Amino acid sequence: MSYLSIKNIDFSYKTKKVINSISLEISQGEITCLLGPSGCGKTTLLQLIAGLEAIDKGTIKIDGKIISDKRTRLHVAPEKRETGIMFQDYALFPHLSVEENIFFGVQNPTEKQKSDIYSLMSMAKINEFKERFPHTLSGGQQQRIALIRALARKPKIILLDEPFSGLDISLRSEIRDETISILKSLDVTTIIVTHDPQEALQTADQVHIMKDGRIEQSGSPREIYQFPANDFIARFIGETNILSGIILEPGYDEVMTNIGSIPCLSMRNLDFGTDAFISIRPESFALDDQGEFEARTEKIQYAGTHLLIEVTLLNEIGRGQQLKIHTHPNARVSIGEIIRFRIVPDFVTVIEDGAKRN
Amino acid sequence: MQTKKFDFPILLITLMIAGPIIAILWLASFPSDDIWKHLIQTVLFRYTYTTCFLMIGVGIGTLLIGVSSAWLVTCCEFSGRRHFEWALLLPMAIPAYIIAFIYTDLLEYSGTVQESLRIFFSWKSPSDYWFPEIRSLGGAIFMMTFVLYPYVYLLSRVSFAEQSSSIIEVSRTLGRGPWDTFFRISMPLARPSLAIGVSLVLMEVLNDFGTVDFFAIETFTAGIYDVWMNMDSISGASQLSVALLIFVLFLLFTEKWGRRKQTFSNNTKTKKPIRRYQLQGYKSSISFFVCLIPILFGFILPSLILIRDSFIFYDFGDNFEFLKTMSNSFILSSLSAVTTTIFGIFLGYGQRIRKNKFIRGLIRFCSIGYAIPGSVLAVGVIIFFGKIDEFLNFIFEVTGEISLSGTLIIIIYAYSVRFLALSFGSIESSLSKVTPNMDAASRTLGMNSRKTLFKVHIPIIQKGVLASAILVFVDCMKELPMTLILRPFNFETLSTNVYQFASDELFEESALTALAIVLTGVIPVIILSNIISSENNQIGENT
Repeated sequence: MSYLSIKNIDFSYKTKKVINSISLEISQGEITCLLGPSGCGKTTLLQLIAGLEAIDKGTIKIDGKIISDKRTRLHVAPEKRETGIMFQDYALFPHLSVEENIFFGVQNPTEKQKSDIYSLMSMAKINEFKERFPHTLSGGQQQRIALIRALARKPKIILLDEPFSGLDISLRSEIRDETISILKSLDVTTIIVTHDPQEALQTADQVHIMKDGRIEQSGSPREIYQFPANDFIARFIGETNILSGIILEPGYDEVMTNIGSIPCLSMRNLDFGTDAFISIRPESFALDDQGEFEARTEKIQYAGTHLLIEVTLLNEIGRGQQLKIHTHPNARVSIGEIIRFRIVPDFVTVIEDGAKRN
Repeated sequence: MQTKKFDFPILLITLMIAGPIIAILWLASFPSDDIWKHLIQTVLFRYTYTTCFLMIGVGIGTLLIGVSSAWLVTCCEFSGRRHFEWALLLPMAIPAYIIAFIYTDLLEYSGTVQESLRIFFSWKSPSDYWFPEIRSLGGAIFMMTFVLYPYVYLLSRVSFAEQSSSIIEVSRTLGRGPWDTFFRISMPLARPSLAIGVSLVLMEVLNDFGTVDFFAIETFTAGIYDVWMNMDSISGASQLSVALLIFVLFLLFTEKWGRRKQTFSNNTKTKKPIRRYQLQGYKSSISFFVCLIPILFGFILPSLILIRDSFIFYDFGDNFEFLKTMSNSFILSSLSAVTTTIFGIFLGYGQRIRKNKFIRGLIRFCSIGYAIPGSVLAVGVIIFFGKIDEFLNFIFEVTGEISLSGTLIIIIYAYSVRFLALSFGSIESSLSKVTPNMDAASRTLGMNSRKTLFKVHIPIIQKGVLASAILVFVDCMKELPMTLILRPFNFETLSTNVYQFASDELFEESALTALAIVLTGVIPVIILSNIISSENNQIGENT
């Protein structure tokens, strides 16, 4: 049974529909990422869960208890929901000390609560500056205080709105690891909103990709990356080559495209003979002197972890088709060189037809 | 870009501001006739008590109205909210003494209200019923509260609007309801702004002469005038002034404290537009009335009465007198506005260019005039000009021939000292939009410093200069105590004219004059409300 259950909710800001019949199930203790470009409604969804906005349609349940229901006009006030939220700007209270900030949500704490919170504080290494005021602290320290403040009440769900985007790049991955390990050790159900695909893939158990108020695809990071459901997702998460083609006979898992027949890992259960698009991740190409494709390099970009090469095909079938290829960063290639490569099917998938969908 | 060419004018302006203050301190320390003992035995305690009581009353009143209306229009959505946002500023247009005259006329024994009550209940004499006396300390508190609350409203409105909405939302998700959040988060964060707002209000209370004089309330301000005009003791007046300056110092300190704290309270970087509580039903109606009542009593009703009286009592055969008074006020205020703005420009550039701590300290000091009550300043200016006259006569070896004290120069001088802070403030803030890099960019693009001034600086700061001139102009038009004390013999301005008629219990006959003052006072309200609506548009664009 899912811990947070969202059924068919709608929300409009003035006349603009920001959330369009979204349903979502989240299991207890899971870390979930809502991923999408800005304006896709992900932050609004977070605010609806926290009760800061009221839904126009549908139901939200936490732990089996209904907290928002349009039909019965039920809307549990945000202070009664037991959801913790952390904002991008941390929203620390400037007139309260670190300790007062953290204890703000725990009125008349018991001895047990106190010792729990102090051990949380020592886990997050903020004990030594608990007397200080927020504006005297660094961004990373402020982030941890905001996190512990939200956790101090032992909320049923913790909601993090762009939790790492306010941090310097150099600090970001370190603080992200720390945060995730704190959340994992407490086994707390977490929703993280982010616009950074890399961050979502690295932190989440489950990723939900949003666009224009809808959820486009849900799945594990691996599923999302390997089998993007459509061209938007394929392009949003990493780089890709999208080609059109026709599904060959069932059982062969191959699509006939303008550059020839390509083996695919997922066929999305489409009938043979139908038109389809495929996404080939640049990682699906491997340089190989015996490879079936021959191409001229047009552009080379060194990215540290890999080399991005843009090529134009020279094969008879598909001559002139442009492709993006990733190789090991040590490969020595120069512009204008003729190279050969082959396809490995790990990162090739059939995607939904973007034109039909709209 | 350190240049010292502004140092000399700044020094001169400092002397000009300091002159009257030093003169008071000097005369209070070495009085020619020491009535201090006499004052202590008779009125000093009463002055202190009444002044404190008046300040506390108006402070609480303006806080209640200002904070509640500001919170409603920034944090809630209810019918009429958008209009209330600017309309709540309207009472600012009416000087306290004018609203006091109007309500006295309305509420005194022979006024419309009591007369109607008597007719309705067929009461015969004052002993038949009880009616609150308007000309009392309580009456003065009400009058001042209704026209001064906009200071608190303005500052707390900005403060509430600047509080990041995520701070409020975090508090909600941490288990605090709307009221708890208001008292634990919104109010403490707004405290510095409220301190500034209330100290500005109280400075106005100390400055007010018209109301306390008319209501016969014995505050320091009224006392200074009394000791000087009726007891003919300028030493006594300056001694009382020094006592009053102690109150002023306290207010200045509070205001500075608020300004220091303000920056730290609003430290969040990203700003989200406030999520307003949607009020419906009775909550919406209550909010509507909470916002309507101060406007109704502070502006609408008084204006209607003035308009009615203007029609009824205006003597159309005598319009020359009105036009003469009007042009006196206009000329005097325009000259003062120009002079003060020029001083303000010098201070603004001095502040921008000089990093020297001493010079910057002098510039800060020059803004002190706004805190000094008009009657105190008038006493100082009189003493100071007396010395200047003596000096000039000594130089030119004549006796009693040259007298600046009897000319308009002395009023323009006093206005400039008192309103310099207004001018400096608006010029300083517009100058801050010309960043040092703009100068650098202009110079590297081939403009010399003169061309930079004309092509970059003037276009950017011209609005600030204009705002400075308008604000000073309007305040001069309304000013009463200094004008009353310093004006040349038989020289009437709008404010002295209204005061004169009211003192003779003929206020209705000067209704048109009073209306002219109120209409002038509406100008800055329009400017302010334009600023508010352009802020709103910007917020709208961001969402």
